[in-house]
Amino acid sequence: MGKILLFLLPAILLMSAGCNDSTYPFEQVTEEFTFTYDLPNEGVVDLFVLNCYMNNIRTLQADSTQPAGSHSSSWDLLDSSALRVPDGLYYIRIILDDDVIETQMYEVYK
Amino acid sequence: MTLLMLLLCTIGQPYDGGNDSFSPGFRIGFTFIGSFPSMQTEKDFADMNTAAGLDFELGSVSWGGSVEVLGDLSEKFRIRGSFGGTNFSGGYSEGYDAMQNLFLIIFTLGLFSGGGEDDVIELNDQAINLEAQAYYVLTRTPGLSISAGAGPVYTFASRKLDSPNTATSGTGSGLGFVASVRLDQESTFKLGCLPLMFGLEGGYRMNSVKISDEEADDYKLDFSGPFFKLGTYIGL
Repeated sequence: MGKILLFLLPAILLMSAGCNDSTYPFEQVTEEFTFTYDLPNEGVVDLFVLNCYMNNIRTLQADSTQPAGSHSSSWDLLDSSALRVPDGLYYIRIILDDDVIETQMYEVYK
Repeated sequence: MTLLMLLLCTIGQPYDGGNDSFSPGFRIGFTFIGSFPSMQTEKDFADMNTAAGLDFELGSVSWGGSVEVLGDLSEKFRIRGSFGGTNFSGGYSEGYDAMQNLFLIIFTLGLFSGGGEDDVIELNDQAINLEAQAYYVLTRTPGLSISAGAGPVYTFASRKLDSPNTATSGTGSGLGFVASVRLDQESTFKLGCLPLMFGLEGGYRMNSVKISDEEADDYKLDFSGPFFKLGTYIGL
């Protein structure tokens, strides 16, 4: 019995490691969070939050002139009507001088 | 299987001539459908996911089936009514890495392997179609007919997006149009005393459906595109 457990334990650990959430290429958030983005040059920045139907549900920043370099902003998980968004996938689009320079994906749930 | 039977019927079992005179009648059949929907919004959605760093894969073919009633009204006119569905999917999945898989096989003495994939994000679009179509028979020879037709299609559509901790779904419906050409071959086989027929149909369907949920804000699922259909029918 002990030998069987000795074999099975590493196997169970390996299988559970294969399903580890930490490998996902997106963040899982349950409350307000801060995100960072890099600007290659100075310009006019817009930050939009899109839902999984690609609709703009919140504008975090509009026509904000920012210098090149690293910046941060936050999203309180509220939409433009100040209501908490339903659980789902959301995308933050960073737009510099009318060009999308980065898209970040978040899984929002309670 | 249907294709094989169709080939057998066409090549290996020449029609015996039977009764050459036309007789009106109805048939019921089951079909297998393959279509190539436009799905531009889903392609844009997949692109957005790819831009966010996911290797999001979207299918290009939508598979499905239908139950149909085919009626020969006269030597030149035919009608068809059908109820069917197609499915279009995509998603992002993660596989177990090779070393992890190797250790898993060793430790479980080959009982388990992590060769499978973990579906992290699953997109599933479904269309239920109600079609009514009228055909003009272009050619009718004993046992074989070619017809062309068109008609309305009403589509009930749904979109389901699952992630590890969330599930989002939306539905909608809309009216469209379908036009096609079909080839029907009478079989020498009989199902009991019921005559068998095989049908091959190809055409174009225009049915774009708006998802009506508030969140979706008129997000369109465009199932429009060319399709093909293989069916087996029995006489009633």
